[in-house]
Amino acid sequence: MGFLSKLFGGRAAVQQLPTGTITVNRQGHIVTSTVSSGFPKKMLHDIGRDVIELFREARTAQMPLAEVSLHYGSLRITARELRGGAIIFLFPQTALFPTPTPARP
Amino acid sequence: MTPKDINQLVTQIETHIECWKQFNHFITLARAKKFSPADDNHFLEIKSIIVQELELIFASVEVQSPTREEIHALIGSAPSLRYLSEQGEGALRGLEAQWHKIYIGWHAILGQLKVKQRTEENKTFWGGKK
Repeated sequence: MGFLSKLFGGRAAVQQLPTGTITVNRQGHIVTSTVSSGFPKKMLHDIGRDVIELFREARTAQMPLAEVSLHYGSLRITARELRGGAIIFLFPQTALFPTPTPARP
Repeated sequence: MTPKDINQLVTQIETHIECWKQFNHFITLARAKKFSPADDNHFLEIKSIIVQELELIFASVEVQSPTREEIHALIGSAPSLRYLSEQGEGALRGLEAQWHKIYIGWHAILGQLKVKQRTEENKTFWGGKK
């Protein structure tokens, strides 16, 4: 489940994290998006395809998932199953929910 | 409209209907006053997706009901979960009734498309019925 390594692997360029939502159909194609059009489409497509694959694998294992939430240090991905497709919320943690800092003793 | 177009539209409307279900789920959260800031963000995103998908659907097929105005009115009356949670029971019921009318309207459209889909499937190569 290397979303981030797929997103940013191999390239040393600074890339802003995506903010918004995408809906993908059961083939993994993006139907609608509220993510900035400046964000590379291929990356969004990769996220969509991986999420659909995740739901599919869960179904195959007879443990169907209704929702998946992935919390990275700087990005939160929440995906809900929509009849074989999915709605995927992408929220950089820094934008809306500041990353909590550990309390000092 | 080709059979492939109809199939695509059916899938698109099915996804759209699922987004409407999500919309209702958020009304339930607002009524119970059990939501987080993240839920409020998701609610905003769901509404944005609904409005975008609506235009994509309207560009592909003529829909008599629900109308664009009805949908925009409903979405306009639900600016946030916080706002809805501060509304009285009567207002929330009105919102739910409006949601239900639109939701059932989409199922009617989906049904009509499935009839078309079936008609196309039953056509033989030469254009006659099987």
